[in-house]
Amino acid sequence: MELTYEDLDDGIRRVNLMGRMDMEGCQQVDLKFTSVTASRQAFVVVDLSLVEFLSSLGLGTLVRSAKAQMSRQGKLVLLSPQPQVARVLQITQVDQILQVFDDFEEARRAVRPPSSPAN
Amino acid sequence: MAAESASRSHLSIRNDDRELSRMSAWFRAFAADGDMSADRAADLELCLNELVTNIIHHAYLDDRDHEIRIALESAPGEIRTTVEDDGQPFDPLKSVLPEPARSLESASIGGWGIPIVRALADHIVHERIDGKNRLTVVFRS
Repeated sequence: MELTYEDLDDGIRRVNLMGRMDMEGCQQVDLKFTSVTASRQAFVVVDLSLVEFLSSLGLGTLVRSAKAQMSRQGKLVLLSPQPQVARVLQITQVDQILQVFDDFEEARRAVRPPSSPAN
Repeated sequence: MAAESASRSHLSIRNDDRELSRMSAWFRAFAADGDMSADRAADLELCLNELVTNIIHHAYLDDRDHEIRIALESAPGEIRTTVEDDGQPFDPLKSVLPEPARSLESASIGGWGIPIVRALADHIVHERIDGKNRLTVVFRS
């Protein structure tokens, strides 16, 4: 499992996950994911388009950081899950508590910080 | 240790998280030889992961090594998997499913594994035989 991220001009952090979010994959990225998405207030779009497998452990990784951002008045949303991953989000109803977008610009608008000059 | 035939395979693993990758690789090799759709194969792989992770983390009251035996059997139109463990009695059909969270704020982390299995599998049977749980899960194409 791999993780990269970039900080965009409008204060949004785009996090790209690649690989399988199973036990091994989560162990590989959990610390970095938490550091990048939850250690301080941030406005995060997590791109799941290259995640081919999402287990309940991976769900925990995502929801934990989203909760942390809520408590910090930040925000975390999900982008472009593959059908199998989207199905897991739907079955568990995590898609009812965490916003999921198929279009990056929509995700960007939803997560944009209040002080962003684009607002 | 794994044994293979055209339509049946079994694997024995220890109750150790590090065994899950080996199990997934074994499953994918089996699925690649069959006629199950990629979507249903992914469903089954996910359910196997959830079930065996649950066993490793919750079935045992001691710190000793335990054997978990997993079998896969394909028949026209379906694959069935059987998972056996010598942990505490546990019937996933009788477990009370957590209420879906109404908000991110109130959401708890975890508890999704068994709901995923119950949602994706076509048929689930739990038996307790000779001090072991035997769970049979059927997936139709």
